[in-house]
Amino acid sequence: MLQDLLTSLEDLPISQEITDNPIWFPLLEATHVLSLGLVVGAVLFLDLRLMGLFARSESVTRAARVIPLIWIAFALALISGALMFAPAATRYLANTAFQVKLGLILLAGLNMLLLHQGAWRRLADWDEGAPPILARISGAISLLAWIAVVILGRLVPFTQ
Amino acid sequence: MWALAHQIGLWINQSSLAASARSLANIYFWLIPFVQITHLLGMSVLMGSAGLYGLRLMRAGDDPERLRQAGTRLVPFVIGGLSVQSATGLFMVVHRPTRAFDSLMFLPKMALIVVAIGLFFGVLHVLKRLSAPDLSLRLRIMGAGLLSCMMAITLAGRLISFLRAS
Repeated sequence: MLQDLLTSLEDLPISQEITDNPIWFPLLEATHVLSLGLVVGAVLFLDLRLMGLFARSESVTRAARVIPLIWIAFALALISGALMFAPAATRYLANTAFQVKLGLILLAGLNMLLLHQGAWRRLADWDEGAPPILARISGAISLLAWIAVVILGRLVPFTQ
Repeated sequence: MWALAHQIGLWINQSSLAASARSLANIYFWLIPFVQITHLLGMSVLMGSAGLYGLRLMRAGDDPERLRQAGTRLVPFVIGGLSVQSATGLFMVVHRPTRAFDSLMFLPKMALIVVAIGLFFGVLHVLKRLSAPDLSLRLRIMGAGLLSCMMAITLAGRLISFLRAS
């Protein structure tokens, strides 16, 4: 069933267009790298603040003003990534680096959800001061996960 | 200009430095992916520091002193990111010089890097010298320029291997 789904993705007209027209892949790849760079760059400084390692004189609320931008850049990375994935879905999904990359993005998402359900609800208590241990751990997990996403994304063409 | 760039690429390609880089890459299979990954991570640091600082400058109403402090805090990240980018970028150029110098994107990317560095440190200089009422429009323009430069540098970097001058 999964194979049928992957094959139908590969057979979509847009997948054929991306395969046949040489302009698409460079454009999609450049967009993917730019949006992922924005996500990781923005997450890096937010996570360092959550870990209490950067800009401690500024409130977490101020640092978190970057979150809407992270969502926009992530959506762009998701769309460009999906469009690169579709024409070679079977090959990508069989690639170990790609599988681990997807797993890490899910981990980063789950980590963010847990942060928002936990320490973030009491943000008023620590907004201007030192973050609690759970927020620090969450920041560290997020930072490591996103760095690993960049590493694995680059390793996809080099691995099977 | 492209002909001259092509000649420079050929000249580096024939140098012993390029031969050493290729030889190292042949011996250590992980070297090229490692250099590319490090370059990407350095790019993310620069995008998060200089690029997003540009975005912050574009916002209205931030206190200039607060902006200056925020910019000063980012200086080590900008210098660190630039150092990583320079070292890894230099290796990639020396490893395959014609790939870089025959590309339509390489020289514009280098020019944009110079502009972006100038804008970032220019903003810090301006923030030190001018008072709040004089700053708003100038800072917004410089911020928009900085963010645009950082985005264009990233796009140009990815397009180097695709857009050839010859």
